[in-house]
Amino acid sequence: MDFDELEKLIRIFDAANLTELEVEAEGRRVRLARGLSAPIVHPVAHEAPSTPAEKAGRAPASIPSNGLADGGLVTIDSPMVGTFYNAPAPGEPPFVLPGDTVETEQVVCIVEAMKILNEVTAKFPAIIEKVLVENGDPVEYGQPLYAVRPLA
Amino acid sequence: MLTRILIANRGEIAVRIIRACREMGITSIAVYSEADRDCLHTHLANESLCIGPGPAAESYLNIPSIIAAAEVTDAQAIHPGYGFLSESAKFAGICRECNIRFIGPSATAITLSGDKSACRQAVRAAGTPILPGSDGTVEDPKRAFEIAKEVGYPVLVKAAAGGGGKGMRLVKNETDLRKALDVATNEAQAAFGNGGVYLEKYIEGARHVEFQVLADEYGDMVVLGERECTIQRRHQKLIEETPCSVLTPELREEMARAALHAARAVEYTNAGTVEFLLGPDGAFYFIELNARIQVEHPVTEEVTGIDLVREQIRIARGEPLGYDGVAPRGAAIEARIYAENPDRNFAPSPGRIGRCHLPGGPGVRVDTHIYAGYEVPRYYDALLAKVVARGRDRDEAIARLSGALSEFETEGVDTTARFCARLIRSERFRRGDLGPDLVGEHLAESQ
Repeated sequence: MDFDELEKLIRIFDAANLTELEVEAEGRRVRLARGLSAPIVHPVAHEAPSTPAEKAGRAPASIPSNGLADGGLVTIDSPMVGTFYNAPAPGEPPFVLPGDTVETEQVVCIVEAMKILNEVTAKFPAIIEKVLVENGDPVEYGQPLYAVRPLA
Repeated sequence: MLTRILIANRGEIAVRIIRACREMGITSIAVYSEADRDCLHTHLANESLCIGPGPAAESYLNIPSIIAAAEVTDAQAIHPGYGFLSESAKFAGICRECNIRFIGPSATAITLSGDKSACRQAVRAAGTPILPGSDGTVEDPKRAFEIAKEVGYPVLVKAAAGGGGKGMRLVKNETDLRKALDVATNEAQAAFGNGGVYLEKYIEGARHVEFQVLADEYGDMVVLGERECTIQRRHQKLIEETPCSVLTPELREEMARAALHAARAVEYTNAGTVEFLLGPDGAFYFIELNARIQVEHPVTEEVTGIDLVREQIRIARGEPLGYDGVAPRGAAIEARIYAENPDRNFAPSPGRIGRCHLPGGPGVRVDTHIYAGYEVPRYYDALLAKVVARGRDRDEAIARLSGALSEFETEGVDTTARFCARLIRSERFRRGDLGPDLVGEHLAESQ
């Protein structure tokens, strides 16, 4: 990152009326901030871990894993780090779509790790409410994949 | 080109590697377990991802998870740090098959270094003295008795796949040998999945002196001096220093040459450490070759000015060493700060750190992953920090380390800081009269 690029960043920062902007590229990190109400006292306070999902430009799932959130939704989480596939093979229809009902042990997606396709199954009967990741996305351990409504 | 490195480790060494990457303009990718969500390495890396639950077997030792993490993050290389998968030939081999560079020696060199009895044979064939003992592992207990009688008691029973004092027993007489063989075999089987044991003569009052080696991929090798690591508790190092105060320039040179021969014997590349026992009579014996960056590497860095982690990455990138002689200057001492209570036989002391103060000042370096509010997880090694002091000479290094250790504060978690401080201030340590008994003697004194 050179001065020209930095200047550009500052203009974007100004124009967008942001209070904080952090950019990472080629192992360098630039952080612009202003008008912070409290001083940053510790490095961990402002360096949130960047998950693959965040890198892909999406907000991390806001639904907490392993617990009932508002509206009675829970999540099906990735059992491992790998690549998320919503269908058994490219071009095939997805295992599940929003609105589908799934049974216990029904396969909902595949997470590929080291060329091995690992089937992820539902642990209880539920209705799929929302798919939280895109086909082909990298996912980490414990990352929510589906928001589901359990069928009691 | 090597622009993205995944760090398959945690804690202070992961932080250390992240810093080297940052300096070299390389993107660092941290992996972490659920128990390490708030560990410093998770936050300091350019990118980080969760690879599994707390137990190491399901996260930091889980090869498929780590390889998958490298693949989804487009990492070109993996730095294994120390411990965990750092000396797994299997892991190094899989990295290679997956076209990911393993920052360390070849799988073949790891296999040979890791099988301690095979390594002893290879090194002896290259002309380096080894401790009298069994040629390879002992299969038949009868043979063990013969060998022990031959070399004379006391003897050490050691695990072929060993490390960290596991599967090791000191045997003083024939009666104890049978029991020690059984216990060591079982312990080695449980800890390493390999129950092979071998015998070595135990030398009273011997010092533990190791030499740092760097080797590039073109056969060039350099020795960066020694580290004296005699002060241990439970066969684990506590205080390390360089130079070793009892080495004459001639003996140092002779041992450095032997270290080179040993490393050549296993066709070693990257950073490694050759460990020797040094008897009170000045005779030295090869013990083992550690195929990884060592915990105590900072003392060498402090006196040579060479960044060993940076050198590991450079070598992995295929760059030649290109050294024109190395001249260490001054002295450096490291104290390991474990979350342990020395007054309760070094029992682990996990928990949340309240107030936290880390020392500083001229010649003081602290490698750590802790901070105020950090919770020490119960799953991993209890090492919290390494406090290293450098001085123009040993006395200055002791004075600086002594001051630094008295500043070290971690509210709510017991550490070895005060114990290390008392030990280095002792008359015996100042005299350089180091022996394996120093820790025990000091414990007795302080109670």
